[in-house]
Amino acid sequence: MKVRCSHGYFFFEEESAGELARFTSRYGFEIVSVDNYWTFEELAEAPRFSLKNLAYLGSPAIETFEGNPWDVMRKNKLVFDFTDFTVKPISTVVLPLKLDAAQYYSFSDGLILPGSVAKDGTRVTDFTAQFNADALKVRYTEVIYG
Amino acid sequence: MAKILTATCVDGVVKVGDHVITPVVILTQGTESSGGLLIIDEDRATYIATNTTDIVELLSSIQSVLGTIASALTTTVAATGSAPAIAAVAIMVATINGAATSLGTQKVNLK
Repeated sequence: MKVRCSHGYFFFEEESAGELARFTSRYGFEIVSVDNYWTFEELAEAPRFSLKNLAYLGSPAIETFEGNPWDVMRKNKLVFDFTDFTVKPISTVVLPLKLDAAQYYSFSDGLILPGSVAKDGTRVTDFTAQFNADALKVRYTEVIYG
Repeated sequence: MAKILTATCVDGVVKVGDHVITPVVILTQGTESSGGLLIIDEDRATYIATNTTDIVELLSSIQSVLGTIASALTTTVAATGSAPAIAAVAIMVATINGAATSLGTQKVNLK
């Protein structure tokens, strides 16, 4: 199953039958269908605009902006925290990044929390990964820091 | 696709509900308080007043002025049975000028 994170907005795309069920069972997430992908329930109704100084999904927006929810979140420096299912400023994420490197990819037992802090102080903003339903591990093919 | 919200503009301050929008470009020329639309396209916010009431009021004023002129001329001709006297014409001109001044004021007060 393909997993993408675009500035804290998640996309789950099932590639084989049963992957999604095994993923949600493994991590206990509530995933819902939106257009042609799946995402966290809390993000399903994310507005396509923000107004400066007004809350966006419960967190203060710093910009007036219109666009896809992930672009709105990027503009407002917000990410979705799947540990408490809230949207929050990326700067409030304090979790250090834990990623094991292999030759062509990195892997982890679970999802990287967007905003996780790398050793050089940069933060994870985006990633592309593959969830292995048999091994119950996530293989990261691309991680972007900002 | 741009997001369109109902908004108001009072003294150059644009609001959506009670929430002040800033920064914003106010497209319409006038200075009177207005209701209108806030259009958000990516990071650009633009306010446009819905000024159809301006147009209605302006047309009504013009209609009223024309009616006043017509009425004045009709009355004068009816009273004298001929072309109006110079003094009557002066009064009519003053009336027309007064109406024109009123229209000028209305133009300034556009939304």
